Amino acid sequence: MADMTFEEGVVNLVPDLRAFGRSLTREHARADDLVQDTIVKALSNKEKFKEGTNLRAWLFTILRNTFYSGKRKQKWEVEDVDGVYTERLSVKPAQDGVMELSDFRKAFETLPPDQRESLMLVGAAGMSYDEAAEICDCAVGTVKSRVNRARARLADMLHMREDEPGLTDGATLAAMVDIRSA
Amino acid sequence: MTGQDSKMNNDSERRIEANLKKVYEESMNEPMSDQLANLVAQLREKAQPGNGGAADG
Repeated sequence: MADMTFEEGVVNLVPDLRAFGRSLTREHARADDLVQDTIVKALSNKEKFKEGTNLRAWLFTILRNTFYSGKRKQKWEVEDVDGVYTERLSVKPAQDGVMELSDFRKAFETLPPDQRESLMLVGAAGMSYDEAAEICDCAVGTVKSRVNRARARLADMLHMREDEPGLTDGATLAAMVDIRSA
Repeated sequence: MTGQDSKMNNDSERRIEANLKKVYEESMNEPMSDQLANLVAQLREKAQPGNGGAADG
């Protein structure tokens, strides 16, 4: 960031923001709207960013706060009482019995938002537990617990605990998701 | 926890994280909405030397 303008730094982090935003909203279009709002807020508050600190963590925090603020207002993350979301999770059986990435994404998207964000930050975005805790505004132990619960739940849903070469086929996964959501 | 349990947990953790990273990368590379693409283009423009970005930052 030393030789980079603030704007360049933000632009370089747009792909990461989109990926984190997608894990929260579960929808591509909403994720891009969220990233857009995040950038606008970051630009209007750029004097609050301390040069030499972690711009990525700062932007992730803005994005997360914007998401939860919007969720409270718009109820983005509604309880799936009528099973509409679950219905969309129905997947076709995998051709070769090996889990497809889309199956993994569907299973991931059934996790509660606090588990999704913690797992995504630590497991994919490469954040430390300390950084994730700061972004999520909670204790490090809470992040660790959420990550462990998320991993355990995914392992259960995708039969990773069993000694299987392949993973749950799409039809079984859809049935499991259905049972868990009932 | 037995050694075998630990190995299975490590294996599942590794597989979960490998898939998680693929999902993350896939999300990074999805086609961008027009509005966001316009905003990013404006930012790139502003970040050009002489356009005020460096002076502001």
